[in-house]
Amino acid sequence: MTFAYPQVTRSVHLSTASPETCPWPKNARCVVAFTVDFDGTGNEVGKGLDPFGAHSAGRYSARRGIARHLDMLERLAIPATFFVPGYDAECSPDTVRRIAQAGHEVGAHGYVHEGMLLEPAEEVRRLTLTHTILSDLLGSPPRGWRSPSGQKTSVTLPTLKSLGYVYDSSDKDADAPYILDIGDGQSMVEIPNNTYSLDDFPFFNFSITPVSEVIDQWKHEFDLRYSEGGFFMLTVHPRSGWGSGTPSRTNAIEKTLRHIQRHRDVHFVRLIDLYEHVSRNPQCFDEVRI
Amino acid sequence: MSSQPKLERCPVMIGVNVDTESQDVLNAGKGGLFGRHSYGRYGAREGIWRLLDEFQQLEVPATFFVVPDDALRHLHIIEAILKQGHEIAVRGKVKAQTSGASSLESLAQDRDTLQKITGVQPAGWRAVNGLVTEQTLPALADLGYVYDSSALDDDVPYVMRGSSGSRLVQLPMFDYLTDATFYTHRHTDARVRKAWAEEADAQYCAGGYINLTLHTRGDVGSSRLPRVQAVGDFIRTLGQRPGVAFYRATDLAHAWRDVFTSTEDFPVCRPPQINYPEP
Repeated sequence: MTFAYPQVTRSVHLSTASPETCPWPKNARCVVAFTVDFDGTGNEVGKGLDPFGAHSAGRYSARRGIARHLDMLERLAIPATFFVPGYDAECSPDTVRRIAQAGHEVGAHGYVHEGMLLEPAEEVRRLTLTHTILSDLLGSPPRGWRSPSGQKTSVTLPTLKSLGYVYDSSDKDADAPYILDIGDGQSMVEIPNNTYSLDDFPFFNFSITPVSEVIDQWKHEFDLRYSEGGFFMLTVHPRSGWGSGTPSRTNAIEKTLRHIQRHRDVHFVRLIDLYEHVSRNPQCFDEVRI
Repeated sequence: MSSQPKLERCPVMIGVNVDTESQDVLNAGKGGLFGRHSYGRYGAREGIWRLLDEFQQLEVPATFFVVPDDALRHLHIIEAILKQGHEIAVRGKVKAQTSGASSLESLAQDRDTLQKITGVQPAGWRAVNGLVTEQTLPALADLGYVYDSSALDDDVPYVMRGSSGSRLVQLPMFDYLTDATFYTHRHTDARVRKAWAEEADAQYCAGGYINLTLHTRGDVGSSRLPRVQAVGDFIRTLGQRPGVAFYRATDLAHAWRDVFTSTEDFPVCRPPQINYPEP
């Protein structure tokens, strides 16, 4: 198989093309995004599992987790971005509507949280299906997408682009947003995340780390990011099990977010707001040609 | 640091396993180098530069084990590593899978590819996937490599000599002084700091030789801000101990074999008295 190697075409580490230094929105020292991947029963249903009993943790998202996260965000007055699989929106339309009504952004996150690669025609069908479900439900189309399993194929971005998506938040290759040149004179914005340290899943699923240690981990990484300035994104899931919908874990998130709020010149954004900033100032960001 | 430094009581080498794309390519399938298969690129865009800055501040030399294919795609990274006086060694492969066929052809090819890029013949080799055969080490010695750093079989380096007379130094690694051991299982940065500190204490007391093994990837490597800070703090604390000195791996191998002149045979695997099932 011949591989297409994405090329970094603008970076401070390249002598040929370096991004300009520009202020962040609101002249912030640190721009912070809090993102929630809904991950309801679609995660199990997509694998052919009955989402009951030992496989019912996804039901927790709609029953408890989302409401708890929305309450927390209201207390903190923080705008957030929720990535919702199409199937979960079909199953819990009122819950997803409440997210949007609270002023948060809703992005797309697969249909049944596909953890596998699909044949192109089926992938396009599911991307379009989820797009239609979310658009019809909310009255306006989602503009951001996050890969449910951290994978994309050659048809993913062109399909998203044609559906009107303007940013992707799936890659893990940088600390700050950048311009994705997807060919044919088209571009999108990539807002990279990190599912090894700034996420709940790695600690609650793999290393089974006590919640208090996870708070320290997140706070410490924020402190270092803040000291340098730049972009910080935390991603959580409102499920039980490996997610963070439960009281102890939502409390951990709230402690982390309050810690962040105690810092001067921090600005919380929805990813669509960040997209707007990056697309207005592309020369200030890295560029990757794929 | 001179090319032939004196061997101090507790020599330390820092080996950085560079991953840009070659590892992700093995796993990405038709999805390409995106999403969770883009963590290697994090090293190329963020991690390596951050580690270089840290080593420069601490004034410690390091050895970067690089897959030649990755080097060819990122010549500016190789240039930056060499500019700071670090060593480039081969991160190579003699077999793809535990049960698969092996080939020694890449040992010379990789050496030559890196030599063309750097202008210097690489002195060291490390198995990218940890797989080493009985034939590998003597072949490395015959090809002019000075050391291998893939084994987990001793507390301190040792020197091997084959029937042809060529020698090879082994610079063993330690699982609890390797970042990926912990980050693969998603342990926190704080736990890694603790584990490294405990392990270094024990090594220091047991005779002194430390091989810190790092990766540049964004997932299991030491490239994010807190992890590079953990590396820096570890090195800073270690460097305050009497007798500790930091070496490029090739300098350590040379110094070690000059001081410890006795050699042993290359290791062999005695066939067990069992019948393996047909594959």
